[in-house]
Amino acid sequence: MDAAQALADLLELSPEVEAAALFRRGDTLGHAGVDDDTVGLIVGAAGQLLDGAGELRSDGTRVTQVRAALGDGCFFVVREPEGDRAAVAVTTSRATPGLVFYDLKRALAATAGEAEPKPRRRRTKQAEEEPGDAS
Amino acid sequence: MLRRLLALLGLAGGAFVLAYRGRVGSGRTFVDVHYEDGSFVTFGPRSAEGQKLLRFAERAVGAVHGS
Repeated sequence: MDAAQALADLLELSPEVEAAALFRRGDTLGHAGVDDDTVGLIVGAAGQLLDGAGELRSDGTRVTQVRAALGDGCFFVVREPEGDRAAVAVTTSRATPGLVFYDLKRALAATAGEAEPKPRRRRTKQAEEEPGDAS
Repeated sequence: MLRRLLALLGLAGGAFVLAYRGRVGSGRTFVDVHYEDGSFVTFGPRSAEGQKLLRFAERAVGAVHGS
């Protein structure tokens, strides 16, 4: 699924989510709810938040997710379990954290493989013969 | 004596619950950081770590609300 489409679906299903984006190492892969200029600020802040939170542990344990609650809204960042992509969302202060984390993880999973072109699978003679063997 | 002590404990418990609910309400400011080993830490706005991390979040939320 396209990253922008996955995030548009997220915003439609979760009215508490005001803006969301997927990114990799500071590069935006898709966004919804904000314009191109603002998404750069969000993604930059999310990257700094992950880096800053990671520096708090001296043993190098990876940060998986961060939630910052402010008076007028919340900021969520979720990192892909095995990978370098991450998802970020700005929500109202009434958002349910578990649901937002779930939605962001789902958006990451739905768009896995979209960031890079999929390697073309070569058909081998064995693969061509397999369907016939099954019967 | 025991009845008075129980009443006092009940009042104290009620006050604690009210205070806790107030802090957890929408006005509270904090950062929860979850690590891959399953642990998580909460930083309040008075800690140096919390102030540092909250600054990034404030920038992002402010950008969205200002746009």
